Amino acid sequence: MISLNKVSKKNRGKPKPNSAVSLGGGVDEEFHGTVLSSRSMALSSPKEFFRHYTVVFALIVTIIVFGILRPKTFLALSDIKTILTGQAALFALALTLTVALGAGEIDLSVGGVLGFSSVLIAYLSAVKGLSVELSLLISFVVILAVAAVNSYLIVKIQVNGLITTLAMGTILDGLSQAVSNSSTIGNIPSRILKIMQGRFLGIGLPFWYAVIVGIVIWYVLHHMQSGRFLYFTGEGREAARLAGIRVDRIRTTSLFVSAIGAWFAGFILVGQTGAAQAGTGDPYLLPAYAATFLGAATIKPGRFNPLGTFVAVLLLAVGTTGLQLFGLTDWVTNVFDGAILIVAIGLATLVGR
Amino acid sequence: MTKLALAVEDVTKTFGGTAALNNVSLRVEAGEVHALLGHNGSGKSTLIKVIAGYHRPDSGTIEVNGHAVRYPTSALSLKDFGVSFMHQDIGLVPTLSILENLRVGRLQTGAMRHIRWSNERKTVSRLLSSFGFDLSPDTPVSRLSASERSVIGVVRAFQDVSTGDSSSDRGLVILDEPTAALPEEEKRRLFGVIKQVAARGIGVLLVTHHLEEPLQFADRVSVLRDGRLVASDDISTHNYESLAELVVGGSVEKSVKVSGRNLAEHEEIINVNDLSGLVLDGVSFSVRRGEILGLTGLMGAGHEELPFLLYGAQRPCGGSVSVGGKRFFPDPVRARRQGLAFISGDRIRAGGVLSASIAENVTLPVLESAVGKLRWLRSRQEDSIVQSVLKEFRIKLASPHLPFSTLSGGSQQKALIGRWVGSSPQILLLQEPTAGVDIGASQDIIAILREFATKGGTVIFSSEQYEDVASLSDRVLVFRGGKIVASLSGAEVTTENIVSSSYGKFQTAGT
Repeated sequence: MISLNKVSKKNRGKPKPNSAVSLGGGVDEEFHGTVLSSRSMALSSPKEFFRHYTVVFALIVTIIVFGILRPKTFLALSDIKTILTGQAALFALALTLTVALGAGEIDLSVGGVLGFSSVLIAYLSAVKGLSVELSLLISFVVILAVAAVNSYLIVKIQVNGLITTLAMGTILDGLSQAVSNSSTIGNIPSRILKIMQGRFLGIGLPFWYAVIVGIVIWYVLHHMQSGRFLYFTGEGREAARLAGIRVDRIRTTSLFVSAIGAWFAGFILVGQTGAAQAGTGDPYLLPAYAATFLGAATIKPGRFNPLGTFVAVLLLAVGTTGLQLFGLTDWVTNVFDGAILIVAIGLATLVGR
Repeated sequence: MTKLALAVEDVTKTFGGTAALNNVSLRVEAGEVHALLGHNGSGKSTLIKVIAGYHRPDSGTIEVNGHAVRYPTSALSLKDFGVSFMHQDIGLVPTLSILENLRVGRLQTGAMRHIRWSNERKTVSRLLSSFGFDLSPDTPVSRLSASERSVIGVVRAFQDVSTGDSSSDRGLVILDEPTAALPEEEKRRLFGVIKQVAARGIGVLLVTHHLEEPLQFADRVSVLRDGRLVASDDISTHNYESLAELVVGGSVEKSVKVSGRNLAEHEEIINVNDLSGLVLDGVSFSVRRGEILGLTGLMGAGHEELPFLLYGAQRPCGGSVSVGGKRFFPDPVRARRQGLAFISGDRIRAGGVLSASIAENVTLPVLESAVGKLRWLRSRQEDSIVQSVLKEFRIKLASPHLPFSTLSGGSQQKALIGRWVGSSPQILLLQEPTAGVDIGASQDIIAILREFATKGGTVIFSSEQYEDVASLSDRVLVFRGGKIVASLSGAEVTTENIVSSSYGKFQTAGT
């Protein structure tokens, strides 16, 4: 559904503008030269380098600007650790969403899934008194069922995915309210808190979990055959199908990945906050999309990629935190996230040209 | 002297040294239905494109309704000249009503720019009933039959040039294969309307493949062959045979065939039994290892469906296929495993992935061989695959890591064929392998496919590029109305035989 076109006009025909086709002989030496130098060629010109690392530069600039304006608070190391820890759920959500978007699927139910899984885990373990393992297992299975319904409708019946997942997210929000009786569930078992509130190198464990998730996704998407097949499915489904790729299976899997990521983000939130309530997932939906789209404009421009997503989440987090240090309150977050999403899509479109 | 709707004078148009149109002069009088015949590559579509203003002629002039056409021309200025086109796909929006489809862009508005729907309805009803149709203007186009849709297309084309006053109507309506999607009995209805359009003083240029149509409905007929106008006569001076003779003529063989391949001892690798598709109607044949089988016919004859059906890209409506003696239920994943590969003629949608890199596209079918420990893709291995494919098939480019879209059409096609040949399939299925690529690339493609067959691979391809079919195939099956009407092999495989059997003239002893 989404495909960012990464045809670059500037790139076309470089370095020899007239070298598109040649049928004559005598091109071999030249030919070897171009093929061997090719991988690095993409980054050779400063323009190209900048094109690949726009978001990284933006991140550095943001840090420098806030660092100059609020040197004491902003550059304090603890703050950076707090940011990383605090954004762990968004990291997990955006990284798994990258998989779904890469396969060409839009999953808007992730906010609802996140909220529902946190409420369900809290309800089963704190209110119903089930063991932590069982609570996690049950909530996990429920979320798998949600993913199964999503993918059945979208892949098998071929319903519009945008609308289906939007509706699914709303259904889950409603169910979260029903389960939590529209109030906050506290008294989360300490074992859950322990899993999520521990620290490693001063940064909360959830961040490290998200990093592991990110590494796995990076490995699969960029260094395995299945990842290549996934991108082909996302960027040219019919061509992929005719090449013998099991596109339906890939699309289904990608929707399961985004749902499981949202479930895990919900789990992180319960552990970090020690409470759960309906609707906690919704504020995560937009930033997750802003981050994935912004990520698609960098590192590997034109493609949803986990490394880009990771950098983009950092930029979002640093930006919001910086603005909040100026005493601007919560509303800033929404304005910032929204603006970033628009900028991200604009950038992706421009970069794609 | 009668008024001329279209006057083409001595138009020449060359593409890279080949003359697509060579001193062509064509006159269409106001009030006549003028048929334009010619097979693919005859220059027919170039002529239409020159009239439509897509191409500027190298020399010669074109006058429409007495006004010289200047280049560049836009669709809007053509409308001012009084020209309108109906393309093969008609271009109606199925979810909108007849009224909306006919009147969009020329709706009358009143105060506050509101649309005067009741006036519009009356206008459309009057227009439809003047052609003998009493359809409600509010009917959605999706509920119309195929023939009704083409009638609406013709009426729209007429309306675009008509002044609304029948005594002063003049203009030119160009219909490009209007009957392509119509069953025989519904064509009459459409031609009734076309005749009426002409009767109102409009010149109608009817571009078609079907020789019966001009004989039944046209006033005059012109035939293009190899870029030259070989006839422009009153229809009464012709019959089916004489037209076929003109269309087929002495088409020149462009490349010399490697003949004398003896395949009789090779085993049969694929057997098709009573296979049916949307058009295809119970065809049976088999193909040997190392054989190149061309499937051809006029557009819509059913040959183009076969590669899709054999690969499982489209579901068959009946019949069976076996590969290597075993029954095979086509489906892309199973087909790949069986050693089939398929290259669709639709390069944009179903060929390479344009946004992915050239390297990624080229290695796709053989990626498995680059998989190393822990399923890690070894990029060096990948690079060497890309390098060998690009080198073997002489595709020149700046960097294989640029998007696939940076390649020219011919290079894209070579890269796609190359990647599949590189995956060493048993059977290579292709649809229109040489369509839309330049002559150099198409010669390369023919050479690649021949080489593949020499090494024992089987090639089955459908094409309407008759010269290419003739120069590439060991055997050709010619289709007509979903059935095989001729099977040509050995010395019988000539462009002339292919074209004449496509038109239903030539019969071999073999069928």
